[in-house]
Formats: sequence, C-alpha cells, structure tokens
Amino acid sequence: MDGTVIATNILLFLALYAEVFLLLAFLESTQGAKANKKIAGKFPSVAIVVPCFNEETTVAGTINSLLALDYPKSKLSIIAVNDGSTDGTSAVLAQFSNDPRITVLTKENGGKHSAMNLALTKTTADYIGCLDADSFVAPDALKTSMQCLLETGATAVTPAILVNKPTRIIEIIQQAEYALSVFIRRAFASANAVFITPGPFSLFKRDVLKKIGGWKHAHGTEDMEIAMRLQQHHFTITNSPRTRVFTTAPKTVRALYKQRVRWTYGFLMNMWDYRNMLGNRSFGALGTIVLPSALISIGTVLYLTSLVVIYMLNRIWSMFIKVDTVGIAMNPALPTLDPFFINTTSAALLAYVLIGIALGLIWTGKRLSDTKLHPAAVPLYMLAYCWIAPFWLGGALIRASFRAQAPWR
Amino acid sequence: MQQNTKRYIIAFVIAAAIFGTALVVTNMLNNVRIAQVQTIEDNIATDILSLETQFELLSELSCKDIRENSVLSQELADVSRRVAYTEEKLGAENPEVLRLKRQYTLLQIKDLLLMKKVSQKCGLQPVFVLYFYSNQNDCPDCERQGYALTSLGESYPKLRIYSFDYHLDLPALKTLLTINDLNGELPALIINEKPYYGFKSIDELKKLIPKIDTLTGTSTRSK
Repeated sequence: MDGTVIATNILLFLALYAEVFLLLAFLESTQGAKANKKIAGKFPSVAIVVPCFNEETTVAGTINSLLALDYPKSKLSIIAVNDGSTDGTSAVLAQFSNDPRITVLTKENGGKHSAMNLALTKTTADYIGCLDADSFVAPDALKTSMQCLLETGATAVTPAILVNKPTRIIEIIQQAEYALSVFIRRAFASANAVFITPGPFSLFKRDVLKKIGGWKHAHGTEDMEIAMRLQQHHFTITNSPRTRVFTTAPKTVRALYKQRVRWTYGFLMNMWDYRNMLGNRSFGALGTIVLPSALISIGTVLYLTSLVVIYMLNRIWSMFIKVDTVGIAMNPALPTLDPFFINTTSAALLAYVLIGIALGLIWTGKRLSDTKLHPAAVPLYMLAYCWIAPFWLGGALIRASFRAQAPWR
Repeated sequence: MQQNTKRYIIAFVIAAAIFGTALVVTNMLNNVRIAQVQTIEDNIATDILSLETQFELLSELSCKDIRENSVLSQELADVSRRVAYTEEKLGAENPEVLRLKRQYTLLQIKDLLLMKKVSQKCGLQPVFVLYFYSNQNDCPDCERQGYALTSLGESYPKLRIYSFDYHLDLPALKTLLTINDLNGELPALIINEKPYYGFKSIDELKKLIPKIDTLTGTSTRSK
C-alpha cells in the first residue's frame, strides 16, 4: 500500500470512530430519556433577547413568534436591541413598544455580543435566551427547552434548528444539512460535548452568564465562544431536539459561502484561543473526541477533495488527449454495468459505510425534530455539499492563516 | 469517567470491526476478481492450444477454412480492458496481473506467427502492426498512441494490431524485441516488419500502412 492509501484509510477510520462514538452516546442517552415531562412547580422567568442590525424584513416575524410562545405571560419578557441599524428596523420595533412584555433598547452598532451584554444588564430573569432576528420559534419551543433544562439541571440548552420555508435549491440542500445537525447537536449533548450555543434560541442561566462575564467579541462566532467558555468552566450544555426553531438560511451560494467561511474561520480561531481544551481529558469527550474530530474533519475533507480533484483532472486530461488525437467519438461507449468494474477498494467500501451512516443520521435528525424534508433535499445535499464545502473550508483556512476575519455579510 | 472510558473502548471495537470487515470484504471481492481473471487465463490457454493445433493442421486445412475460423477467443477483446482495470486496482506488481499479461502477450505472439504462416500459405497480404508501449512513466506519448491505434483498428477491422508492454518480463517478448532490433525508444511501432519510433498520428499511420483502404472488412483483432 502506498502512502496515499494508508493516509486515506487512517482518516476514514478516524471519521468512522467519531461517528460510532457519537452514535453510542446518542443511543445511551435516548434509552434513559423521559419524553414530554411536564414542568413541575413554578415556571422560571425567561428573557429572550433579539439583537437586530438591519433586520427590517424579518424582525417583526421573529418577535411575533416569541409573543405566540406557549409560556406564562408574566414569566416571559422580550428585549429587542437595535444595534445601530441603518434601515427601517427602528420603525418596525416601534410598533411593539406598547406591549408590556417587550423592551426596546437602542444603541450604537457594536456587534452582537455588545447587544446581548446590554440586555444582560437590563434583566433579572432566571434564564436569558437569544433569538437572532431572522429566526422564528414554534409555539412550544420555550416549554420544551425549559423542560429539558429543568430535567437535566444544565446551565444552557440548545434547540433543533430547521430551515424556514425553503423554496430555492440552495435552501432545500441546507434542509438536509440542518436535519443532520439536529442529530449532531443531540449526540454532542449526550456526550456532554456541545461547543456551540446557536444564536437561534439557546437559553442560559442568567447568573452563570454574569459570573463568567457575559458575551465576548469572538471572531464573528460569539455563539461558539460562549459555549467554549461555559465548557471550560465545566458547566453543562444540553440539547432539546423537540424545541423547533426555524431560521432564514442563505438563499444564494455566495451568501452560503460567506456564512460558512465566517463559521469555519470562527471555529478555527476559537480552537486556537481554547487550544488548552484540545486533547485534554478533563473535558471528557469534548476534549478528546469532538474538538479534535472537528479539526481533523476540515483537513480530511480538503485532503480527500484534493485526491478526487487530481483524479478528475487526470481523467479530463486523458479525455482531452483522446479528443485531440482521434476527435470526438460519434458513437461514444456507454458506461459499463459489469460488476467487475465496480470500485471495491477498502477506502471505497468505508466511504459507502460512512455515507450510509450519514443518511441514517439525517433520518434520525428528521425524526427527532419531527420535521418534513423536501424529497430532493437529501440527494442534493449528498451530491452538492462535497463539492462546495471544500471551498469555504479552504477559504476559512486561508483567512485563519492570515488572521483575516471573515465579515458577517 | 469510567462510563466514558467504556464508551471509548466500545466505539473503538465497533469502528475496528467495521473497518476490518471492509478490509475482509475488499480482499474477498479482489479474490473473486482474480478468479474471474483466472477464468480468462484458462480461456486464453485454450486459445493458445487451439493455435498450436491449427499450426500443426495448417498443411491439411484449406485456406477458406482457416480464414473463416476465428483464432482468438471471444473474450479476448475484453481482456485488455480487464487487465488494465485489475492492474490499476491490484497494482502492476500483483502476481496474478503479471501472469495474465504474460499469457495475453504470449497469445498475441502466437497469433502473429500463425497469421504470418496463413498469409504465406494462402497468399494473403495482411498488415501487421506491432505496438510497444510502457506504463512506467517513461513514455509520455504512449497514451496518445494507444488512442490513435484503437481508433484506427475500429475504422479498419482487418488491420491486425498487437500491443506489447515493452517492460514485461517474458522470454518470448524479449525474443520478439531482439528480432525486431528495437532501440528502446517508445512508443515504437513495427509496421510490416519496419520499425517506427515516436508518436504517429492517425493520418501518419494511414500513410505508413500500405493499401489501408482494403482493410475495412470484418476480422478478428488483438487489441
């Protein structure tokens, strides 16, 4: 076996190990889970913060979805923070100023973390949550998250995030990806290895947040940084897959690319900031499996993609030579169906296994969040992501190398 | 912590089991593939025996019988493709791949010799093209030459093209190289016993092959 084959097999084994580990963690936690437990005793008070920067088209829907939450009105407050918007966000927020449950704060633009910290100083609620102004919650979202928090005694809880009303192909593709992430979030929580508390509807114990210093400016990925800091202080973050939050996914490949470069760049930079956690057994599966796997997966995707690209370039070059030599065949040979020519190398078989497991995980995520997928979502995701993801991974890696922060928009 | 350690170990065992199964299945499928290759080898061996028998019977057969009797196995047209694929997947040094290539080469040489005898006896004037290539990265034009010859063979089915791996360790092939006095430059072509070196385009080949327009009928080919 040459070096390429050995390296490919090692990387595939590591990916397989990480998948199996998460699957085991998920299965073990599901076996002991209690479904639909009612909240016992008093409902805790909750403040949901909606940081807004130029969100005039979506923020009203976001706040209306919060107002429609099935939760005692006296226990729920909404804090909308206009973070220096230059569009009509201010006028939209003004429409809600008469509602006693809503507080509108206005400040100069300072970034999401500054908006969240301002809200943190203005509330005395037991729990504080965030809802990005392009996301919408299901009516039972707060109850299910709170049930999960109270059952587990965790410091924070993350939801299941789904794509809001996908119509374009790029949104439909992301629908499958988000279904997969429903499983991944649940599995990470099962292994006590959550390292992102997403902007759409993560809830935190307010006193813990104050104790660790609130939100920080963190490479455009404050949601990741605060989760890493909570983990560093050994606070538990859980996940409630029944809490459904619908977010506005990027509608163009360019927008998707920019978002993912920002996420990946933020991940790499946060990994650097919290490098003491990497491989550190005191952080359990997070330090020993999840963070190293997430880092290695970036290298794996780029490495395997480069192999495929080199192979394809060779094939294209051969085709070019053939056409240049003999011209274009008028009756080209059809691809053979002879099983003799099916690729059955161990790397290919492992890739088939990994793809099969990924399909199973998407299905599990779909079941967990009780959502429907567009019929084309999974096939398109499987076909398209392997070609477009390497671009943003590579782009983020280059930016991280030069510490050139990826812009929000 | 103890539960985590247990989970690490169980995950490793399961992952190792899946990985090991993939390796075993790969090995099994490769063995099946090798068995298929061995079947082809057996067919080729039969063809070689058939050729040898025809050599011996040549004096008793009429020219008509020989011309209408295909001397090559039906599988032969498919052999080079399977050998190339098996070589790519199992490696050029795989003993089974090497064995098949030797058998295949031997059959081509036998066929060449028989057809020369047939031509002498029956007064035919066939065109023999012997193509020597290498896949050891020392012949940048071999891929291009292969495409040109394949295309030419499809256009002129009566053209008898024989392809040989220059570096294949086979005494009969070494003898063929010696007889034709090749200087090692590749790709090399022997057209009716005259050597040509370097890439030859389809147009150049047409000029080198005498009376090529008469070779458009159906015939057996060895490439």
